Amino acid sequence: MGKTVTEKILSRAAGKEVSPGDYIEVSSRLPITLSAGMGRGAAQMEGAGATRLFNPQLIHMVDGHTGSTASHNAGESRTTGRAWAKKMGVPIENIYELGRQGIEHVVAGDHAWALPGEVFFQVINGHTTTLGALGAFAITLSYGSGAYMATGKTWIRVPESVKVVLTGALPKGVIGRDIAEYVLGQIGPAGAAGQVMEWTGPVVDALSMDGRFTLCCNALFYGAWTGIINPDQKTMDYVRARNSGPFEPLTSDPDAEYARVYEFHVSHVVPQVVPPPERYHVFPVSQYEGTAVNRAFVGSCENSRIEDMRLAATLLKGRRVHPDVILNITPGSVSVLKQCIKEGLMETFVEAEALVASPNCGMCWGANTPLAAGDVCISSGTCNYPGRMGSKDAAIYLGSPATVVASALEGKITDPRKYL
Amino acid sequence: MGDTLVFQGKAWVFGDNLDADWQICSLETLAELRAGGVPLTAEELGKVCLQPVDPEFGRKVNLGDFIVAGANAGASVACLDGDPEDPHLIGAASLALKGAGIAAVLCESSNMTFLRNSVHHGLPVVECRALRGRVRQGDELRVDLARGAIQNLTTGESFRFSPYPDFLLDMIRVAGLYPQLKNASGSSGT
Repeated sequence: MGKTVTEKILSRAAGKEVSPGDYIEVSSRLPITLSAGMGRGAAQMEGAGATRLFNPQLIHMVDGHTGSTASHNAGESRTTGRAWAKKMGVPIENIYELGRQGIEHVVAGDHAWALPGEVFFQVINGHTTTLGALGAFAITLSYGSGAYMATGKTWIRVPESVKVVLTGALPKGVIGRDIAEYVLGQIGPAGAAGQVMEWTGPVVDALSMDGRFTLCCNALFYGAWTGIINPDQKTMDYVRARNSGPFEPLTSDPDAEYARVYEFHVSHVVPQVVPPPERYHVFPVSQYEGTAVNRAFVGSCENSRIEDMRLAATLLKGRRVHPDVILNITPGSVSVLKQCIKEGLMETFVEAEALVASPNCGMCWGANTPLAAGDVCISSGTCNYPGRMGSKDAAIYLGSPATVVASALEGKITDPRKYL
Repeated sequence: MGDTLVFQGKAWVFGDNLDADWQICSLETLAELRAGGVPLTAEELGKVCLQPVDPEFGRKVNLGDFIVAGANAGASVACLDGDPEDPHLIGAASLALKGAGIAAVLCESSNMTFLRNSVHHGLPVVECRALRGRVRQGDELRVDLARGAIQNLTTGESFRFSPYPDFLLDMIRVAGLYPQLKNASGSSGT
């Protein structure tokens, strides 16, 4: 019987053949990233009387959640984080603070800190799964982070995998985000509870790396522990352009066993909208077309990469944001921002009277330009629960960057396909 | 005192997708407690545990009772599992359940971050698919964590589950990952 890519990665990490349900001890030679509340792991470690990091060189601190915001304890968090890094011997070049910051999952992707065939950890955020797009087993250690940073070890119960096969071809104006939401609408919040979502099929093969990151970013909304995509030539080229370190990719065997196989033919899928307040109620954009919006957001670990920026610029070129709407565009990292400048996208955004914010999670969790009571926002962010982006009396609709920008141009939720 | 890994108590039954951030320990309630100057201890969180689902839960539950949930117990869509502004409140839902006196969460399947955070806080989460529909509100249950056995004493039915390995049983005995780490570093002198 064959093995899934996840089982192979964990077998290699454990130094023995493993199957779902096995408990193993694992460490990782890759960087572990910390973000919001850089002092979190520190507090846990101190509580346990642990005074040293197992390897300070592997700690990468990315100022993703607070960035240039004035709220969310940002200033104190930076001071605490810096002091802790110094005390623990974390090299200064491992601190990706203001000026070289970004959303940690985007920065980790920019540098290919996660590698095909390896285990990749992050301290606290559920969207670490994003890095599964590189063919890594990527999870957050959450409350276990402090212990990991002290010992360099954690336990894993080898998970079952769920295979998602996407066939057909993406229609015009439909991107990875729409597919991620469409699948969520089909399989629901327990569709892969505690399991790994392995995305496969011709649509995934044809998808860009940026689109693949989006698919894996959504994992927790299906209840999944993480998401993963078998590395191919596209993955290899992406990683080798960013990380000169050695790695050995692993892929699923054709006869690997899955807890469940879902197959979706996506040629008929249209742009999707997730209305408030439930995350898993997903509808075609037509259902909400015409709903007035006064706020719009392109950004977050789901959709803040260069391809998302290019898509936003395609719709904005030569046009102006509707006067009732504030459109916030937040590139996911300084690298993405630099690329936007190089390609002239910034000029398009500014000419269209969009607001371009400093790279970070920002508006996605209300840490810049927060929503006020009564605001209605169309967002490419991760969540739509009340209060996520500011006031709990504001409404959040989720959609792809194309849907967000088309809606920002018209002041109402709009099918982006007429602009593409 | 009997075996610390055998529990007996009453079942509190919930459905699928029992949510860590909005039902078990609501982020909104956390914000209210903080604004009111209430210390965010397990005991205080226990009082408001599951409040959005059952406002009386914190008063009605007894020490040693069980949560019996469906698929995807401890579901989380808030991306953080806990309070973004307090380093001690990661896994706040697990802490709240513990504070409420819950002995273990029994479910069909669990969110893995919730399961790990719970065990790391010293609260067992047991997955047992056969349990679906076999426990009613108020049934008396007996759970033997080390042997992987659940008995519904009210109906007389028994169920098996894969027990935790020894190091996790030990973690439950010493009430969590950090006490365990502290014991280990104490003995090795680091």
